Amino acid sequence: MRNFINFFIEKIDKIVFLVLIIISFSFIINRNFFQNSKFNFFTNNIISSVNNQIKQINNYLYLKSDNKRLKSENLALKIQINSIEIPSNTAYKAKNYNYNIAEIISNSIKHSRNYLIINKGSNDSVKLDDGLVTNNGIIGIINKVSPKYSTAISILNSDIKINSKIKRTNHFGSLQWNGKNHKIMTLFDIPKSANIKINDSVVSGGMSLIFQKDIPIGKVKNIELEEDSNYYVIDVELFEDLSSLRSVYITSIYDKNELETLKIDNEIN
Amino acid sequence: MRSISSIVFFRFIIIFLTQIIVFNNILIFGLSADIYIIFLLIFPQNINKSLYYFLIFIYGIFLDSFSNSFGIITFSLLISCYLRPYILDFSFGNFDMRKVGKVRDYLINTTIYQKLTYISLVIFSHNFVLYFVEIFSIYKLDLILRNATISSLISITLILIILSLFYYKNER
Repeated sequence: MRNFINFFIEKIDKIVFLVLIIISFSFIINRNFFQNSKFNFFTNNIISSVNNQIKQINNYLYLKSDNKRLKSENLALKIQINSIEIPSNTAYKAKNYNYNIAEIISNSIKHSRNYLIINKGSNDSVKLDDGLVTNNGIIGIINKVSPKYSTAISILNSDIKINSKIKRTNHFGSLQWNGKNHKIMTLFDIPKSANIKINDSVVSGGMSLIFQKDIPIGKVKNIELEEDSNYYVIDVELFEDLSSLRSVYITSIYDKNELETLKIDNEIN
Repeated sequence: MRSISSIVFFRFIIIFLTQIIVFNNILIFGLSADIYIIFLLIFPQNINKSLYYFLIFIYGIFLDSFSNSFGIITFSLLISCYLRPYILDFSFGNFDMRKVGKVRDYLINTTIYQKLTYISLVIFSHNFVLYFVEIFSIYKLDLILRNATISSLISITLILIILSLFYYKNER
């Protein structure tokens, strides 16, 4: 016993080091299964509220550009309102989307798996798997919700794929980030038969229950056809600059549970 | 004379706040300008080792929670924290650790090449581990090396400027 205690006292530095290394490694492992982890340190209200304070100081610096952006958004909406038609069939109403506005508290683009934190939580009826969009594109998907704040997986995260299509030809593919440039994403699975040109616009596909159809994402910048492959690999330049993002819209679908059970039923049969 | 713990506490707060308020918002070539590792570079030598690891751990957790990185910085800071005595030995020769207790002596009474070796070795090893656990894929080794190199170069430049402005100045 005495030997054991002596050993413990002698090696205490290394034991402390090992314990700390293991704890920090478990944080890294947990981030991929963040939804399930009970550990709530990173969405802690204290940290988010401090971040919020820092953001509020910064907000004054961006008032001018925010105003400019709002004006152009208003203009676009006014033009849209003239050409809108109210759908009469009930089938359209079944897939209706709800919008809510939120400020981004913390955002990153420098890692290969990026996350963002917004200032709306379950008190404002934000749910898991809601989508984040702006006028110029898709931003992310909510993956954890606390009462006042929630975290989202950014589209600049090499783990997620987004269903999208070429607007002109209606060919579907999946959009993924390669981790290099925050303005470029890669579109896979577009068949060789599709007649695609540079500067074609890419929009969201609407196959998932997260994002609405036809949200603009970006334009085709470069087209490659790998040897022995029937699918294009396309570089897409994003319309939205995620490094200077300040506020987003949260979209959620009405009747989501109903649609989801329907989908699962179909997959089983 | 100020006590060692108050100096460490003061540095902790100042470097941490500068990093999260100023440098987290700056991106050069799409990579962040990291200066937080100064805290590790000038951390006092003659302090209890367990305390040393523990302080660095707390420091990393704070940085991680404010830069959305989920434990990556903590892990890589701890690794470079473990490597630091060996790098000190390598770059400044085999000093008697008990005689030259202060890191300040290492960083001031040595040639520029020795300082540069020390700073760049610590920073590069830190950045390599950081991007390795962050990307976590052996197939993307080119991306890991590229990111680690570019971000090390940015950090080394910034840190040399900051050290020469604030750290050496007090000595004169």
